[in-house]
Amino acid sequence: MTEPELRASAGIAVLGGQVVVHGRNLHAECSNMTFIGYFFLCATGRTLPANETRVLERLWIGTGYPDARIWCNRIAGYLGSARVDPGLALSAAIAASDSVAYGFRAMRAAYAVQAALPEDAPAREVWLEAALSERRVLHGYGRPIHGRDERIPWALRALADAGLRAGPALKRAFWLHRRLQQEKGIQMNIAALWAAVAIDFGIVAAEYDAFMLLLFAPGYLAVYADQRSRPPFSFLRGHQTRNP
Amino acid sequence: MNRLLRELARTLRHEVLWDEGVEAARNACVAGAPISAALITAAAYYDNPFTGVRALVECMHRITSVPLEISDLHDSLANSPQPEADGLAFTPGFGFVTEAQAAYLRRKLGGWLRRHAALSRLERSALLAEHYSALCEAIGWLNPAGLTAFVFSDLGLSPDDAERWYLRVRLGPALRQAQRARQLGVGRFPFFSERYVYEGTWPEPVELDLSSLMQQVGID
Repeated sequence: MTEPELRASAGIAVLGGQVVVHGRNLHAECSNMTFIGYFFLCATGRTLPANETRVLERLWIGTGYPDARIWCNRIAGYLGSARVDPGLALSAAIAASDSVAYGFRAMRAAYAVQAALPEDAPAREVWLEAALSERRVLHGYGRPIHGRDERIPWALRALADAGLRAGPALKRAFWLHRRLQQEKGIQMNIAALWAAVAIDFGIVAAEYDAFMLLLFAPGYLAVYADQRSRPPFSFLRGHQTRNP
Repeated sequence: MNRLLRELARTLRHEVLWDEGVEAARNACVAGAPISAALITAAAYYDNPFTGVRALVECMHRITSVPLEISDLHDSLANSPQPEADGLAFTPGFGFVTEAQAAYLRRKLGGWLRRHAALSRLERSALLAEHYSALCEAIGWLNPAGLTAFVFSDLGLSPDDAERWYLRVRLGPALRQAQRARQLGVGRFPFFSERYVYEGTWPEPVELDLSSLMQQVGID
């Protein structure tokens, strides 16, 4: 029987020796990275300029909402209240975030919308006309609860502070925002902005999927820890939606 | 044995025992996540140290490590601080159920003992039933994990058997309700309907000028 072989390019850990990550010495070269920068390297095999990494970090921070009412955070709340281990709780909250209405699948769909927007202005108008006549759902536009997404100004501020201007994709995203406001009275939500910024930074769809995985994690963990500090099973006890 | 296990399974799946594991699973799927998300969520929930598999295994260990005497059983089931639950003092397999749930479980246990009287192997369960009030007054009502611990211990089944079985049984209602929630959709789910009381401090609000920022980054 031949010896089983495992082939990989992500890296290698020589225990007691050197650890290599995508060709870089982990301890010597990556220790000075920000966590987000290192996470991006691991998820994609490459790095971004420091100012772009900082923008991505601020986009993540800008959506780490610690409100227990948010659907994925509620799961963290239930599990913290039940003293489930944090690793299991985080896994569950991430799994639940793989949702169509909100979360990762919605973000993937929003990326697809941004990627589909033609560069040429007349072609964009044709594209939009078709989308409207077909009543296509344009993910990234129309926020379910309130008309205004409070994260958008702060995202633009992150770009400005990093000395960056809007790239072509972000400009197209705002073009669609204005047109949909005119046509349907709906506005851009942060998912469109995230996707457009990612496209401008050269992040392809598969990289976007992998990299954005932990952006809600601070929110999950804030709620988990808060509810874990309270009496067991006190989180919404007695309010199960038995017959919704 | 199989018949008793089937009855135990039916008992544990009953709507009266639907708990936050079912609710969290609903939550997981209502916005269109795949069923696996509900599975992961419910499986995580039913790992809890109070009514989950950890409670089940610990309870089995306690009740099988002492002679079949009420005083020994009482001592082994005494409340004690549990490191896995941040030092809270309780007995795994007992407590953390409503009065209605506890009454339901007690009634079911009594019924099995009567119907399966020939099963002399249900000795620990019989001892529990005989001294239920005194025992549970001290340590809390028997909960689903505790009931399962007694039955599995009496039937000579292992904690590994119990873990697998219990998780499989408890996942059933959670997954079915998760699918139902997904069919009904987000509009029928009470997100943001609770009264939310923020107990922390409030910083000063900061507003940004969106138009000015759009100009600054070159969005016309």
